[in-house]
Amino acid sequence: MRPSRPTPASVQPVYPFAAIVGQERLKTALLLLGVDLGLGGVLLQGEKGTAKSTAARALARLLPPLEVVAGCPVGCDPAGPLCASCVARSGPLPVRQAPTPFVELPLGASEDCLAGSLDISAAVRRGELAARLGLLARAHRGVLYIDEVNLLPPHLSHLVLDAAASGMALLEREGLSLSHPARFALVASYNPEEGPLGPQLADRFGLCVRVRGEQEPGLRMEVLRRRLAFESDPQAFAAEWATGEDALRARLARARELLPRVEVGPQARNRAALLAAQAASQGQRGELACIRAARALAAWRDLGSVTPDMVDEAAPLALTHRAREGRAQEPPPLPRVLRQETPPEEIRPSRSEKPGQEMQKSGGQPGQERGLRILSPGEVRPVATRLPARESTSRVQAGRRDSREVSTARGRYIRASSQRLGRGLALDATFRAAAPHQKSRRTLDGPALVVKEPDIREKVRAARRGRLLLFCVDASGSMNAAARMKTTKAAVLGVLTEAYQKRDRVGLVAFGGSGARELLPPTSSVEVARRMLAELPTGGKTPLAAGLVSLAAVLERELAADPKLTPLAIIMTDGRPNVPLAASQGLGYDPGKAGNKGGGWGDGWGDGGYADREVLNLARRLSSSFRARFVVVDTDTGHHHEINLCRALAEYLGAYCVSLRRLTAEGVLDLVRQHWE
Amino acid sequence: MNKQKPAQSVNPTAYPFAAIVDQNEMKLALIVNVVNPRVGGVLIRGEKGTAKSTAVRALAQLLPAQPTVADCPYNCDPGRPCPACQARLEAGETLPVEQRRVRVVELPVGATEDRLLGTLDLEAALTEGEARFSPGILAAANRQILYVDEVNLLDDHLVDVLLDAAAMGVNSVERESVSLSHPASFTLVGTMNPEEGELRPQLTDRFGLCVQVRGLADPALRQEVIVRQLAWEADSAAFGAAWADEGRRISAAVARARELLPSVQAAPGVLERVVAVSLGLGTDGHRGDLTLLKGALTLAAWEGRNEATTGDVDRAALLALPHRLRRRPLAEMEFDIAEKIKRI
Repeated sequence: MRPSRPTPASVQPVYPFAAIVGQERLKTALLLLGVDLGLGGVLLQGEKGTAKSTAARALARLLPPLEVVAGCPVGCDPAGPLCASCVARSGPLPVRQAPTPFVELPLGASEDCLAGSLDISAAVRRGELAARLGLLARAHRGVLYIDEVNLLPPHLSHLVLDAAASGMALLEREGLSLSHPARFALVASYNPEEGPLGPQLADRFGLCVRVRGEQEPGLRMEVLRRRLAFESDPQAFAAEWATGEDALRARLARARELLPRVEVGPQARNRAALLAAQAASQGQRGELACIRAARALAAWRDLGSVTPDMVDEAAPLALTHRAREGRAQEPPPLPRVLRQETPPEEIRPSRSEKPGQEMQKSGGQPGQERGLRILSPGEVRPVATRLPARESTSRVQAGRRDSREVSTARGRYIRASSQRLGRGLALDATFRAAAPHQKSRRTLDGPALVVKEPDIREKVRAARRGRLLLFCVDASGSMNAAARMKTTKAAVLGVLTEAYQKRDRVGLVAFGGSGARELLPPTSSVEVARRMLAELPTGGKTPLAAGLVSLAAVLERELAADPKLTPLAIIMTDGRPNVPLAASQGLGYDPGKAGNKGGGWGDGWGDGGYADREVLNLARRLSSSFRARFVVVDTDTGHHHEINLCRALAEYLGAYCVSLRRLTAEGVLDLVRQHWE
Repeated sequence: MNKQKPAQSVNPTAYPFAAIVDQNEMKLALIVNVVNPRVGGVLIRGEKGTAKSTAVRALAQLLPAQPTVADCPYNCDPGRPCPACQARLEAGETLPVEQRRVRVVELPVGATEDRLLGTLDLEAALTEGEARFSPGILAAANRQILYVDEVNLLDDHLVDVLLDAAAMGVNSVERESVSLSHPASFTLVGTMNPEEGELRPQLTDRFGLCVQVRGLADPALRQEVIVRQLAWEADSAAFGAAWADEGRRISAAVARARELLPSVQAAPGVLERVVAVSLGLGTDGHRGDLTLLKGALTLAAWEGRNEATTGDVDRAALLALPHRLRRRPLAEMEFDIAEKIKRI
């Protein structure tokens, strides 16, 4: 028993690929994937509303129809590889034609949705242990699309990427053990503003495209015109573009046929090796991806061999996302909470939010529709799980922190428990608990399985939730900056060494010169930390405000990914800010104009200067916007603590202020142990 | 869709072990474990895209056959039958025995506890009203190689179960009206990318050997990797055939080494050297000493010698000790210990 395979055409009209305006790189990457599904997927990076998912959907329509084994739950290729049920069949396999599947993975999907689970009806009606296959099986030989892949829980992304890499899905869950072929073209998109994609994840994609809205007014108007035409009459629009679609389809088919015969000579290989080495990509995946993309490009152009030029052309697609994590990253965008021009009083104090309230909030909210729309009518959904809704539309409302539902269905199912806490039904365990009693419970024409209250088992999920520690450190030239940075680095490595089995993560933001940088995005890896903190820039002025803004950006990103976190942020400074934010951001600096926002100072702290007031204003916003704990470490080695800003900063943050007479890594570690949850 | 043996049989066109370019230390560590399963497995650490998983999955091609009770769910040794087979013997039954290849049994990181440990056979319970045990991955892994890809991402809970079984060589199941123990002694092979987090020390210690894999630096070798990869992708059957001879040569060498191993003796001074190297490098506990000695004996067997020398000890130390060295609190794991060993 498996859900019927929905044909995309019947669910909603699909915008034709040929009618997509501009976005040449995006289209090229997808077409190359269409030529060679073995490319390893395409990662699309860019803002919302840039035709990413439209194009992915449209691509599936261009792929030639498939010959599949009729009645096969996976949709096996009669030419193999075959799934276990096809292998077990005797006689010649019946064949039927089917469109290339397009399957979308919702972020809130549970693991059993994706990988498969116990078939309830087979168990209840016939007492049979059978599998209900998941999205990975449905996507076999088609396109699997994941929007906002950076927000996908790690255990799901691992499942998808392992299957994508090996072409097989291996399932050892809920009393089931099965494997089936799962060869699909993976297309995933994300918006970097919503948080980065881990380098391990990015590397697994064959190609990557940065997508931007078209900038040319003429093109933008054309986008609008076509979109309106499509929406007013999809059929007519499709008919209008049918010739273009057919041409693309035919060309794709030709290229696919040619692909195995395209030659890759030593020159092309050398070129790929050189380019990959320049991009400092780890391992050899980059090089291979480069060659494969160039080969698909040659096939697409109906050429029999790959020239070094084609490698050059393919390289940006294959290599940009693989460069080793660089040190100097683009400055983070201004965090949302600081962008909103609402007075601090109106920012709802998020500390008082309880997880329970967060869960309620999203029920019936506008965002819900988004997560559900991929489910076709009539499709069976597992009873135990609910697709968590996401508040994607309400995020931009002033003062509201992103609060995606923290569903109990998150996390990896590891075992079952008879304790009733409302965690979701563990079918397999429930059935097993009920099994021994069946003889006495069964009636003549009742169901094969009778489950009673005491049999109920719930899923215990692995909460792979570590803690988060952020350092925000003054790297300015004021006093002992080099020593302070070294000490902080030692403390970072020390915390990581101590914490590695708790899956805790540590990040570091440093400010100095005219701005702030995220030197270490939160990581749990000692090796990554060591590498990224190999050099510690110091010197210059003290842009404390910029440091706080960077800290806020990191907090916002991390809390968006995991709203249940309570990060600890340790701010180490001598409390003498002298660079206002406007200057750090390269904006005009106008103290007279902006100095009256927020209010509440003028009570004798610091020099009362613009930079000081700005810092305190930011501190107040930080403390009211994030569920985080702060500690201010006063690193002033002089004897004039009363005139620096640390104490005031701490007060505005609702934080402790600690003065470390001698700053040592051990001292900082003690501080961490003391204040970390 | 279910009730087949854990399905690893579907991939006939795996990349040939013999065709893996360079990475000799990793290949040697794997081969040592095939020659002598008592070495205790290997942990392969390395950055992404360095053929770690490919090598382990390819290892299946080299594995020797061993006498196995044909219908025992635990693949037990007729010479040392499991309790269930023992009971059958005592009841006067003759156990059917066959020569069966050692397999690579894979534990996916997403596995649930019931599949690892084994659990009540639901179908038998429902249809026959019988509480029968449905064996899990630990049962399938008895006397085989148990492979965990991305072992550092395995849930702590599963790690506990795994450690328990690895320490005892036995899996004890007490759940859902099932109560039994069965042998579960396996060679543990794990691969991981340290950038995704570290491994628990208890688990690290369970691996006999540990190697670090790096991307190849030599451009000619890198080219060769690409050429072979493309050739394999283009026609895996033909590629496999081209490498079949080389594969058979390695398998034969493995078989010879296995035969020779029981008669390999330690040369005078070898025990002293084992202890000196262990103490000199500063390893914790005695497990390292034992692995070091076994490693040295196995290396000698692999090279067709009857006697393990102090040189074998030094070479085995490169594989057996990196993960056992006491580390200064903030230091990295050291793999370049050859120089240090020389000085001892």
